[in-house]
Amino acid sequence: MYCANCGVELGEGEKSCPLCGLVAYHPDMPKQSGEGLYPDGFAPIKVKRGYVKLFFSFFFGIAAGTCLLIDYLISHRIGWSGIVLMSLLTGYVLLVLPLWFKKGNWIVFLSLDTLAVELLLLYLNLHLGGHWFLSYAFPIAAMYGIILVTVTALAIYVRRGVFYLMAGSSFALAGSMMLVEFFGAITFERRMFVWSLYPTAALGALGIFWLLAGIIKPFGNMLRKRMFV
Amino acid sequence: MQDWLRLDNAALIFPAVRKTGWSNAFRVSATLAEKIDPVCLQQAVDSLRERFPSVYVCLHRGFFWYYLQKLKTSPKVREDAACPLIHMTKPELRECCFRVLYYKNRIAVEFFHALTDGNGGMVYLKTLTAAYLSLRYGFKPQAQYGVLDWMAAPEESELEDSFLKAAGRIALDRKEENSIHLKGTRRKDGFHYLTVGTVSEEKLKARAQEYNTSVTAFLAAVMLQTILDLAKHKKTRKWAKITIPVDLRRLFGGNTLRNFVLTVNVGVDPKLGEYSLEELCKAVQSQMNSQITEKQMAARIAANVKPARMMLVRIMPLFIKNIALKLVYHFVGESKGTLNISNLGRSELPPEMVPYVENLDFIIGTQATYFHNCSVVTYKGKVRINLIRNVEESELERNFFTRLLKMGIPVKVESNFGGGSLCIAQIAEWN
Repeated sequence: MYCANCGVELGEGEKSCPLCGLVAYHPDMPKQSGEGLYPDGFAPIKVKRGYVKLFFSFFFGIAAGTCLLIDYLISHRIGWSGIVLMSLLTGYVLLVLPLWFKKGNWIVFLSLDTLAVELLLLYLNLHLGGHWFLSYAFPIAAMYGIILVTVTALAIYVRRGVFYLMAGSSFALAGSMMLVEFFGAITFERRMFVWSLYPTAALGALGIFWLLAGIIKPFGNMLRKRMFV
Repeated sequence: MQDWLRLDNAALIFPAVRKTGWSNAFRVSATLAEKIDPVCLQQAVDSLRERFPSVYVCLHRGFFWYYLQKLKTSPKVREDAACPLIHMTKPELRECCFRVLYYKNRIAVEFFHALTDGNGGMVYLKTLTAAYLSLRYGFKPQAQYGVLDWMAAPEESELEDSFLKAAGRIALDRKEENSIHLKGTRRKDGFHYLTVGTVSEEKLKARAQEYNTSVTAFLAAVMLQTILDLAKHKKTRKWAKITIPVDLRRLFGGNTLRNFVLTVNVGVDPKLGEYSLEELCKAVQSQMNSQITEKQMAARIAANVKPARMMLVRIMPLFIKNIALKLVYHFVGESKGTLNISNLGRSELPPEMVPYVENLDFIIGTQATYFHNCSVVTYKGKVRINLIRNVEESELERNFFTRLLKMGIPVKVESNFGGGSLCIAQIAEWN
């Protein structure tokens, strides 16, 4: 039988044309009944990537152990190696922990990442004897963690409205700039709103741009076509 | 005799560049007149182990280089899968670097490219088929047309790394223009779509002669026209190029069963305007003629051999070499070609075997960064053009085969997906 669309002769096992997909059918001819070139039922090969996480776990473990040992041998206490250990733990939670889960939930991972960063900052604050954690580092890290988790959750579970999501993210980031300066001002007793107005204005304008793209459909479609395809 | 082999110069790159979901492999297959008996096939595979010591190997990792460990037992023959060239994983390569598969009337052998090239693979397949037929029907075909006497001992020259002999004194610069890469919706599960077009050797040759080209150059020109057509809407500054592997045995002689092939890139610059088929044929043929000479090839081999001979490179730990080779492969290899057209040419068999063997096929896998490849073999007056892809879209195949059809070359197409991967809406879009 020949494909009415492409003109090529079809092999006996072809139920439709491999080139254009047109079903091989002719009312005056018997149906294509030959057997396929290959057996049916494709079973993809499962590739084990376990060695990657094991390698990184080993690497993080060795690095942390070595630093602790050297620090203790030299100064008989845990000083700078504590910071290294906490940094490595944070890095491990951020980079390696997701590898241990086949179908991990990004919202859970990002929440854990925020928690790990908060703990690192708390340790730094205590270790260095600073008084900036509660009034500065904690609220800022928590704020960006919440923004990140919210945007990720919306991106995963609400498939539509990408422009609104981007507008919301831009407005949230715009607001966060002012808050960063605000927390800095009350913690370190500086002047308020010196630099944050500029990025806030820029991010606010970007937010308005995305919002317009969401509201004005032709504009949104044009953007989709130009930027996302 | 030692129980391990060094990789040949061309093979050094293949283990280094393999990825978690991709390895460089190819397949040769023979379709017989009768259904395959797996027990008999297993016996034939077992009987060839001593004759092909460079094939019955597995890949191991040394501190400085990979090496091939000879197998103590032959691999088990397996039934074929739904698609050719399923990814060879690292654990599989550690056990054996080739697969012998059967399906209905077909015997297929899939090789990791570090073992051998298409010609070496075809020699193994032909000898395996001869051994199978001999066990099944009780006759022994003559050792000719690539069939080896499997009762004889292997010759030393069959196991040699011929690159080292052929390398010239002057190394050729590798500078080249980057090429267009076709895009598509990639299948992530490793499935390969195979479309086999069968055309008459006589008609294809006649058309090629009309344009004063060889069959390979003609197919490359048609493929270039197809690529230019598909990429015409892109504002690209890159060339459209076809990578053509050249069997160096024809230039330098020798009968090595290991890799002895080098690729040349032929192509045109789309910025210069539209090209007619005649112009493309002329461009391809002249580029092939100028590149495929003994001197040019010796200089290009030297460029590949020299770094591997440097003491600094030799004492470099393997994991560093792997990173360097990955970069070289990406920037000097794959970025320079749009796709491969590998033509094994006309394959023949001893007269006693001809009635039993209906088809021979040669399929090369897709590359790491480009998703289409084409391989060609001619047997019994039929040219089998195997187009493989791991993207959903079949525009390249359709455009290429219908182009041949419009030139008066009838094409019969077969596939491993029965045409089921495309929707009717797509046809409406094309029309």
